[in-house]
Amino acid sequence: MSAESASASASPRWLAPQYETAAQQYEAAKLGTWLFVAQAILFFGAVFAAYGVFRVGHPEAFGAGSLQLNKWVGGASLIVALAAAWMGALAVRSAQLGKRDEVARWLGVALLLGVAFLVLVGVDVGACASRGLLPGAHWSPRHLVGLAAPVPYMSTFFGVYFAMIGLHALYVLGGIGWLAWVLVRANKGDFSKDYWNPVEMAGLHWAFVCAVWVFAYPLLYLV
Amino acid sequence: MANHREHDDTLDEDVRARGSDASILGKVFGALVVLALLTVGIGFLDIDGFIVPGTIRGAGGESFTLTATLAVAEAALIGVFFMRLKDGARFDGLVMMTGLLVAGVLLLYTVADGYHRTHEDRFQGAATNPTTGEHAPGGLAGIGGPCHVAANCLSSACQGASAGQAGQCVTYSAR
Repeated sequence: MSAESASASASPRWLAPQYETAAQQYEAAKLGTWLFVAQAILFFGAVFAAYGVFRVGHPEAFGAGSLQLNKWVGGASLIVALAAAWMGALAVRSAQLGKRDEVARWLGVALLLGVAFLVLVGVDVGACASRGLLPGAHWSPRHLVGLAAPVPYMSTFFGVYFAMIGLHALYVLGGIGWLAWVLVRANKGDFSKDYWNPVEMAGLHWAFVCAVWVFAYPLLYLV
Repeated sequence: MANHREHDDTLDEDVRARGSDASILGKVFGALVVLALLTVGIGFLDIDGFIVPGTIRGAGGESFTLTATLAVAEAALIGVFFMRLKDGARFDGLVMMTGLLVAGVLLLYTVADGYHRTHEDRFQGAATNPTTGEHAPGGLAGIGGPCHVAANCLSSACQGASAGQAGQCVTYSAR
């Protein structure tokens, strides 16, 4: 047996061949995930900038549009998002401590909360659709809250609203998929107190996705 | 992270010890819920009218300032404790801060540009309606800008205009 193959057989199976040490692999994975989060911040930044520009241009339309959304449903979705981020953090903690059962449990709860979040947002989207508040060709507002007639450029608010929650929902869906993949691996026993990188990276992304809603919710629903 | 390089194939106890205390994570979640409830509560209160009686709800901007401050506090808690910025390498924090900074510059310049074009545009002249081309060249018609008819104002009414005399775009009071 050559020295090279002996060295390879001594390495744990989860250590990718391009890395010399577990620490090197961990640092690379974490930096890569942070870079992904940084570009996602820029991606969402464009939508928030659009919100800012249109809000400055049409403040009355944004105020009137915000009135049409259900603050309670939105508030519930915020609490669910925060709870989901908490579950993700608990899963990472359990993974670091090598508690396999707990990892699967917290990941499962985080995943369910992610689905619950999408359902809550979907409820509000459904309510908007039923009142003709879809921007574009389907724009036919009716049963407005606090308004006798739609304010000019209110459809712009709903354009930004659907763009923001749509983009966020895509990230939530991606996060749910990521968590599900990590959950399957956790149930297969792929993680241990020596290797938990995928759990931590999925948890990191999940917390970011939840943090985005912390900003989106008040901007769209409250102010 | 320097300690990690001393090991060939496993991460050391120091990294595992980074698993934050579950009770701390629970307290952070509790604080987040309190902040979230405050945020929702502000949405139902007329903060602007309370500070300056008679102010149209939302027009004073105090609600926005308060909710934005609460949102930043919530995001900071999530970043520090749930995304483990307090335990990770400082470079990770630098990467995130760079993203926030660049996004902030993008946001600031874009919104500031949009805002000031609705008021004055010294370099391009008077505001104009991009749909009709009136009051060319350049700029966007809007709040405070000159107008002759309501069509000159993208989101507001034209007040004070008469034959040969420009008026001013004013906002509606929807809330």
